[in-house]
Amino acid sequence: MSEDGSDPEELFHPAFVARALEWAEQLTPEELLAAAKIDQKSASGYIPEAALVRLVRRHRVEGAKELSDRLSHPLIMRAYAFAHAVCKKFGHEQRELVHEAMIAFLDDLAKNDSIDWWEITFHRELKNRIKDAYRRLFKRHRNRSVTFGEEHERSDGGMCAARLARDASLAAIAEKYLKTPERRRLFMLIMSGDLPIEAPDGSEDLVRLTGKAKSTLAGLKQQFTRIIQDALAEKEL
Amino acid sequence: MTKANPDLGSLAEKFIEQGLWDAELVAQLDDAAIDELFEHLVAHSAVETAAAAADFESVVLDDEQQAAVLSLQSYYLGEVARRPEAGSAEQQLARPSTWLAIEPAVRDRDFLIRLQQRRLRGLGQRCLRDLADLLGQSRTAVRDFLAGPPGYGLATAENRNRGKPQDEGTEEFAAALTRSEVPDVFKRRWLEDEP
Repeated sequence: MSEDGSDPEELFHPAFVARALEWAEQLTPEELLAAAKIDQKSASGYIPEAALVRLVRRHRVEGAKELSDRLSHPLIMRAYAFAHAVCKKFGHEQRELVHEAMIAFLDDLAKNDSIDWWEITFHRELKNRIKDAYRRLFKRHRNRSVTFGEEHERSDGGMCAARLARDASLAAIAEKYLKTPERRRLFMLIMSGDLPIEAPDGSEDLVRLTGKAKSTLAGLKQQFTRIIQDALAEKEL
Repeated sequence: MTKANPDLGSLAEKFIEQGLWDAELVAQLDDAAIDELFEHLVAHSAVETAAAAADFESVVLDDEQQAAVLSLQSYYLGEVARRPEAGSAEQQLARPSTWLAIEPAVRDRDFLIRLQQRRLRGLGQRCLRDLADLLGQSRTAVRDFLAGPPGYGLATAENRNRGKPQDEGTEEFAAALTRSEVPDVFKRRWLEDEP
C-alpha cells in the first residue's frame, strides 16, 4: 500500500506525491531544505519521502548538484530512522539489517534518474529491502552448521602447508584484533582469498556465502587489510 | 518439476497479507525453492510484524546513528560521483530507445514515437515535467529537444501508428493524447495543462 492508502500498480506518482512535488516547485532552495527537514507527517510543509526521492534526482539531473546533495541528507536521515524503527526488535542484528537495506536504497537513489517504485511506495520498498537483508541473515543462521568434506591426501608441492601457515597467521591476527566471533569468521573468509567477493557466473562467492552486500564486503576487506598492515607494522617494530 | 523463476517473494507476501496460497505452484517447487519460499515467509512475517509494532514518531537518532547517517550519505555521494558518463541529454533523447523505455508507464508506443519524432505541438508545462521525470532528464533538456524540427528518426521501424493522421506532419498534442492509450491519470493531468 502507498502512503495515502491506495495500492498503486502503475509506475507514476500517486496523487499525494504529485501534490507535494507541485507545491515544492514554488519554494526557494532554502524553503525546500527547511521543508525537507520536517519529519512529522502531520506538520505543515511536510514532504513525503517518495517526493523527496524525486526532488533529489530532479535537482541532480538539472545540474543543481549542491541542492540535490543537501536534500539527500534529510531523506537519508528519514529513511534510516524508519528502517531503524522497523528493525529495533531484531537485537544486535538490527545494525546490519538497517545498513544493508539502506545501501540497497542508496544504490537505487544514486544510479537511477527516472521514476521507480521508491517514488511511489517508498516505505514498502524500504521494508522489502529489510526483508531481503533479513532473509540473507536467516539463511546464514540456517547454514552456519554446514560441515565441509574431508581433505584428501595429495602431493601439492607444499601449497597446503603454505596455506595452513597463512591461515594460522590470519587466525592469530583475527584473535588478537577482532572482538566478535562473527567478525573473525568474516575476516578469515574474506582475507583467505579463497573466494571472490562477487562472481555471479561462478558456483560460489562471498556475497552468496555470507549473505552480505558486495559493498559491505568490499568495505570490510579494506578494514581487514588495514588491520593486517597495522599488525605487520607492529611486528616489525 | 520446478516452475521457471517463480516469484517466491510475491507468493509469500500474498499469503501473509491476503491469505492467498497458490497450491499448484508450490506443488511444483523443488526442495531448494521450498527452502527459499520458507525464508521469504519468515522474512516477510518478521519484518511486517516488527513494522506494525514500530513507533515511528518517537525515533530519535543518537550520536552513533547520526554518524551512520553521515557515513551513508558519504556512500551515496561516492556512488553518484562514480556514475559513468551517459552522454549528453540531447543524444539520449534523440534515441527512440530512450522514449520506448518509458512505455510501461505511458503504455502507448506509437504516441511515444510521435513525441520522439517531435511531431506533437502544444505540450503543457506539467506534461513536460512528467516526461522529464519519467525519462530521468531535466525539463529544460526535454523542452529543448521537443522544440527542434519535426521528423527526427522518422525512418524508425516503429512508425506504425494505427490512428495517425496521414499528413506526415505535426499534430496537436491534445488531439493525439485524447485518442491515445496513455493512462487516464496522465490524460487528465496533461489535458488540463496550460501549453
